[in-house]
Amino acid sequence: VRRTGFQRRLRDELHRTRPPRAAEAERRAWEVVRAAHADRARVGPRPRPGRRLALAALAAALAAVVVLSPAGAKVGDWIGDVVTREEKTTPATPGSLPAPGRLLVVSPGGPWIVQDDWARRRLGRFRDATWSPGGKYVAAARGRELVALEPDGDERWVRPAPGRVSAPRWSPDGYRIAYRSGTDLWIAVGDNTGRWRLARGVGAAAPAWQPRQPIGAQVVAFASGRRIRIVAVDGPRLVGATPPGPVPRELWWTADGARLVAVSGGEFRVYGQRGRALHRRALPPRMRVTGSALDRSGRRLAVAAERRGASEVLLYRLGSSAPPERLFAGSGRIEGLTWSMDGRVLVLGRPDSDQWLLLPLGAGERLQEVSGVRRLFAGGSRAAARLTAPFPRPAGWCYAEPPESDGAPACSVGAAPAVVP
Amino acid sequence: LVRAAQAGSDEAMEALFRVHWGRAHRAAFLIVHDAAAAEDIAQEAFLAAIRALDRFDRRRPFGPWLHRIVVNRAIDWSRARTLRREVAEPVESEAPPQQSEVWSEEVVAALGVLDPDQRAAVVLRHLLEYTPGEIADLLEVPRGTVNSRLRRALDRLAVELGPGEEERS
Repeated sequence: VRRTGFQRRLRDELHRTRPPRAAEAERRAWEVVRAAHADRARVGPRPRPGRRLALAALAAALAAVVVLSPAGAKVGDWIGDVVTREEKTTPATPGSLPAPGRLLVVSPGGPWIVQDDWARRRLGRFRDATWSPGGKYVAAARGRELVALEPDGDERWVRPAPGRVSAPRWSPDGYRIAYRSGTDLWIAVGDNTGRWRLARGVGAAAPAWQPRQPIGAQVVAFASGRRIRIVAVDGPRLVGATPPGPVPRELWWTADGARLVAVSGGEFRVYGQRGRALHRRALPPRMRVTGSALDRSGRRLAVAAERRGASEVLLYRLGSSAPPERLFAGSGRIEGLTWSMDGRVLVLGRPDSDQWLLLPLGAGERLQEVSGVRRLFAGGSRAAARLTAPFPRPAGWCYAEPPESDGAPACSVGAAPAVVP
Repeated sequence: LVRAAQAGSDEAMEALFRVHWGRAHRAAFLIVHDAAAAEDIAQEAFLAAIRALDRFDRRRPFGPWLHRIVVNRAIDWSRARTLRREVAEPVESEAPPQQSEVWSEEVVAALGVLDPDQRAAVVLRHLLEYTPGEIADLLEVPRGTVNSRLRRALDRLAVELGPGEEERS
């Protein structure tokens, strides 16, 4: 009788349980479940004509606004500024990628894998993507889901998240994936056997994994207010934090893992592996950063910056106080900077001209151009082909054949989503 | 409800969700003791249910099927869990949990000393109110195993909760 009473009390206590913030959790879960059910219903037998008509009317209205409004006229002006008028509607690519390997491209139509000969495969309707370190998988974001894909587009696994997923980044050892869910930073196990929240309220910059850390002891840096925190994710353990500084927009580690580079709106700073400030370089006056990329060796930082409608790409050598080398200057905005794996080519995105420039850094090599980039990666989506759509960006390059005796990953992290100064 | 949800009814899907979410979420929380993980596990269980909705045998009840997914995933999560605390300070905007939403912390703490299999057995028996035979089916273990897990778990809980708990009963 005594035990029965104890059990009754236990049952009552268990029934009184409410997990913390249960109502919010229920609301979030219902949104995800409802969307999943709606997706299932869409491929099922029950069309909803009223809803379709409303969507069609909305699409027509939006199209009219784009064509007729002053904003539409502005788009027409941009078209007049591009380098060659006929190439902006007809995609044109060089015969092959300027450097060996495979390129991952993220566009509004989804991520694509581009082979050496520019053969392209779209992986599906995902919003963001990144290579695994060996190039065997791609981690991609789809609404509130983190998805691991094989390079042929097959979904390996799916992991729901409480918030909208963005900026996935695979750890160098391949066992962890860092990603933002809403404004929180989460870590997922690479084979989808678990995940945990590492930090709340992190900054917009994508997390950056420190190279050359032991397997199972991976370290990630992420923006947290005006500081950058450096954390060993298994444990987890705070390795270090930088002093307060400008809010970083992009974070890069040097290849040896000894230096962390934080690029913000008007400067970049170099920190030690525990966050000690080592070096600061300001950009020329009134220039605002629109993109950056650190080459695979970790010695050269390319920075794109804009001032009064004109842009420059500047090359800084880390550890040197020499003035930067100006690699390119032109009208319009430049974004989506990405180095090839061999460091011989820098890709520049020029959204106003709907083109990529493949800028060789070797002497005597020819600059190449890819035009009609939006249509090239629209995947049949008219919205993605429009000049108002976000511009496709290279999101990482993989060696076709990784060099021997090189312990570094075979794939790189490419350009982060564009930032608006 | 399942039939209507299979036919694409949003209303039926919502009704199914509202009926089953609370218990699924609570069960996951009591096993994993982590609010975010519990939400994730319960949500994943519903998504798995939706993916398998067309294949679901309508002659069988929906609840046990969902609970099986939830409890097994929660056990897996608990086993895989190591030290995974957050390191960043909580953001100021995040409000502390309301007192009315926090259940008896004493019993939560006591459950925390059990191993995941024992917690799952307690939750299935005393929250979801399955019989030991049904629990054995859900977890795919012998009935004797369920009984021994329940017995050891209740003995441990009685110790953890102290004599006061027992005397009151």
